[in-house]
Amino acid sequence: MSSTASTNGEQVTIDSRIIAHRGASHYAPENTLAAFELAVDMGATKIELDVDVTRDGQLIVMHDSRVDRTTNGMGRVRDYTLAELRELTADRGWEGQFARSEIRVPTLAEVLEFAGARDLWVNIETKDFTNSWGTVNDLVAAEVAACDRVDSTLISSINHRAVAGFARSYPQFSTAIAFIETFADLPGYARRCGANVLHPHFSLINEQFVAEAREHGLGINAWTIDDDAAADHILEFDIDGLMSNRPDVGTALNRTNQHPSHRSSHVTEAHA
Amino acid sequence: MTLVFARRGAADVAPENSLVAIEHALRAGVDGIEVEARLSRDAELVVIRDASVSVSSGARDGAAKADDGACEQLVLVEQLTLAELKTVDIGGGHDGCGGTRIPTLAEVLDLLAGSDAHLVVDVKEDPQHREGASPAAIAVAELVRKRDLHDRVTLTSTNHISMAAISVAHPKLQVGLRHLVVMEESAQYAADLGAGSLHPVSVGAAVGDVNDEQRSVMVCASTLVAAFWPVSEDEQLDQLFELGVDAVVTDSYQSALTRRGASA
Repeated sequence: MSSTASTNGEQVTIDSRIIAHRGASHYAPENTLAAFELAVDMGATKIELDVDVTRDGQLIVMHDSRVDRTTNGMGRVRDYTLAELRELTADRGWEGQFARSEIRVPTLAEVLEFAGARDLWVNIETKDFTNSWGTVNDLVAAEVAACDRVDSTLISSINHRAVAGFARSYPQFSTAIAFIETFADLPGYARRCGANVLHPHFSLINEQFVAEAREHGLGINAWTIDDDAAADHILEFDIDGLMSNRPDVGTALNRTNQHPSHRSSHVTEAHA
Repeated sequence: MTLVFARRGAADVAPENSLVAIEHALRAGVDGIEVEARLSRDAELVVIRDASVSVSSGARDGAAKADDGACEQLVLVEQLTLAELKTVDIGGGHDGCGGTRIPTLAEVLDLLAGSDAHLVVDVKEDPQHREGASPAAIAVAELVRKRDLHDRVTLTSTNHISMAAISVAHPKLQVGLRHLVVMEESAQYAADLGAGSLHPVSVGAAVGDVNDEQRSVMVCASTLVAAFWPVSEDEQLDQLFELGVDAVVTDSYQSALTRRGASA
């Protein structure tokens, strides 16, 4: 369950269940190719990203619905054409090696191509609360299918109505519901959402939660922990993935030695 | 008509969740108040949002005395007795409110007896509690039953397992489900659990509830006020009134009352 990689000549070992949340976003500008590259360099085999759509209907990778926080521009993503968005730099707030004008907002196609070349597993999170995601659903499904990446992609959202709609339209995809509530009859609720994977906030994880999910064949990817001790605790459980902005979170070497039983494949293989 | 609930009382003029703040909001004419409740170490229900409070070490029974004078320390509410919690001054941030104390839920119910306002009690529960009703939820249900206030109080939580269990044990109690995500078929889900209301904590989550064709339960929507949230509270109120939710829970109760008046 651990994988090794060389960063700056130093050998590091990370837990293969770590999902690089927006890339290695603790160390590089989130949701940029620089952050995804760094995640791979650090040994990650799974990445998470967020998609939005431009005014001219192009899928781009960004968390917020506005460009203000992460770029040198202002306003809503949906008011920009792709060409206009590409003129912005996505290194806002970063100094040193990442304060480079060539860091741009990537398209979903670019990140999928990058992931395909490195055989990465990708979690695409659709963020918008109020949008039914009809158009975005179709665009995402078409783009992932065009790259022949359906089997290594997971579609997730906190908008469970959107997840349910996606699952009905595109049953060949793996889908996940993200949540922080303690749902009653969670397996039944997940089934009504058409989700085969759960994305619980890490505070919900205990033996009972995991046992109930596993009994019903549901995958589990918890979010989001950057603290080593907290990550170590959650990784003791039989979960498929843990999202972190730090691919090197936790003390993986020790844990690998103590718990060889946790050696398992990732969620699309185990629970597709 | 959309009802207006003041979140934690009139937190603009007095300390949130204080009796003074609740009194002020009632005088302003709100239809209800929403407060948070937690259990103290000696099983008393106290009205406070945060899980921990700053107490001086001298005020704690059995606590090691500080060597030189009082020293403030952050302690979980559940680890303090009511007597210890009553030493905490929550009035610091407001002029003329020094010495304001954390109220008990019983004191809040006393205050409400003099009005016809509704009270939403959001009980803070362990998210990992996965069996039966939590002790805090049971305590609220018992208090409401003792006071015979079933028509005036709604108990809510993000722990839907606890809410489902309490609605079985206390069928007369009004129970609501709090949620942050946009839920699939939320009305049917609520009805199955014996809950009479949904409490979405954002406009987006409320859109899902209101657009549910099976809607048979009340939608009592809160505005979301957080540093990361880009939409102003006024804009959110516009959206919630347009959606036609049954009630809004807001810090901007004055602004909401104006909208309620305009639509009446």
